[in-house]
Amino acid sequence: MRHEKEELEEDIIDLRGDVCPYPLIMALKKVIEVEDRLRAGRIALKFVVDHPPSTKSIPREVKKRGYQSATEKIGAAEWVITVKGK
Amino acid sequence: MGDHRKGKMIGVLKADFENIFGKSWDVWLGGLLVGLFNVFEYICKKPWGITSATSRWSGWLLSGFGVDTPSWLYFQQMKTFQKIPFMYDGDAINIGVVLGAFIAACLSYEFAIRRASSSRVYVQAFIGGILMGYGARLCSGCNLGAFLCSIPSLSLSGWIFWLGLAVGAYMGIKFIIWQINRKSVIEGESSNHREYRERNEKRQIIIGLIGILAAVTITLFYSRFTEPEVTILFLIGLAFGVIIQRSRFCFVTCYKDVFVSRDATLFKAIIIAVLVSTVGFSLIMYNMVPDPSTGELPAHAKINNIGSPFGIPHLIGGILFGLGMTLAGGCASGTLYRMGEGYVSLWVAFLGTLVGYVFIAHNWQWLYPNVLEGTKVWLPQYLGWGWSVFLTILALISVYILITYWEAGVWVENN
Repeated sequence: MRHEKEELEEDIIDLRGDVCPYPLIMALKKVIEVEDRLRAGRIALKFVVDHPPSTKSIPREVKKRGYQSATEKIGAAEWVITVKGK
Repeated sequence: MGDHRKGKMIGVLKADFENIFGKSWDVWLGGLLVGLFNVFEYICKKPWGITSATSRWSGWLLSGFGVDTPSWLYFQQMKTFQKIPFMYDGDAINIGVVLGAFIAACLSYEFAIRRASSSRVYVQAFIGGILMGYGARLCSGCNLGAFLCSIPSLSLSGWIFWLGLAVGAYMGIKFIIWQINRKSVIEGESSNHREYRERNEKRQIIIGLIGILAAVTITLFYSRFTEPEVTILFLIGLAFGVIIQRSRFCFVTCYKDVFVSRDATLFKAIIIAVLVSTVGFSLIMYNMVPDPSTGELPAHAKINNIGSPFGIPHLIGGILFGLGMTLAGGCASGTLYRMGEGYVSLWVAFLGTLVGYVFIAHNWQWLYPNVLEGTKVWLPQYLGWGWSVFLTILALISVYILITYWEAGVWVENN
């Protein structure tokens, strides 16, 4: 029996203006910080990046840790990488 | 019928364009092309290098401010004042790389003036640049001249530099991890989220076309006013810019992947570039010096002074360079292509390298005769041609296999 439907929280993390290796390390730190909520599917992280290599490395690393991610290009050298739990 | 055919053609051209600029290239393709173009460049004149040319810029700048750089030993050795500034072959390549990366970035809709997230980034990029500049000239080259072209030149120096580079990059990444973990929370919650940039896909393609126009103009300029080889090298520089922008061929990204993600894909692509260059360079050098026992060295080969005692100065230079590039966010070639992509912080890093060159040029008077002079080790002089080439290739393949083995460990640990 479900008590109440929980809202999916969204957290936008702006990683624009940083170069390798910053975006990846910061993203991973954030993922680990909210690990429990992320696994439980209560939060989704949206990373905004403008460093092209991050569009490869962030999805690759979160996948290794068992999360799903989707990358969307939203503008000139701007991507949003959404990370969710399974 | 005619219209139908035309429509078909445009459709195919669009698909081709999308293939080249719509998504990033596989890194192994980048490695292969970098290796090939490196060989082309040596066939044309000399292997790919960046910092010999840019260090002259420091000499010109200082002399513009009234410093007597023409009398400095370093700038004399670099033949800094024999031509008009920016007319050297190396200048043509460097301008080509930045412009090529700019064009590729615009056509891929990846160009943006990227201001850094904080002033910390600029300070760090500047300091990193200084370390990079100093380290590079201590080793007679950057990640290209001291490594990517040095191992294929069958010189011992490339191997020492590679070790130093890895140590320096490791130190840099550990520092950055410490720096990030020191802060309790990652800032950038929704509240201070900046606006997204305006969408301007069409406009960016037009800017890219203007870039192509500029490239054509520079080509015509060089072919009119200087030797043909400078023009050819400019075109090769453009190609390098496009290749490394599309495949994101950068040594900082490489070591970040290795030390943070334990992923060696880019590391192995770099080995491919070195392997391809080794085969090409060996052929070129063999034609110049069939008998290495005479003591003659092939012209323009990157056989660098490793310094005494035991190549330690070279190792230190490699460490400085590796640390510097990680702090700056781009190796020498990575800095150039990211300048073309619009990273403001890497323009700052580039300025830092110019300052680094001034420091080492200032020390050169003492450094060169006491530490560096006469410490070149060219393997064919000791081992002959066959063994030198064979052992170099064997060692590269061994590193490739070892890193793959190490990389595989991550899956074993996780499962």
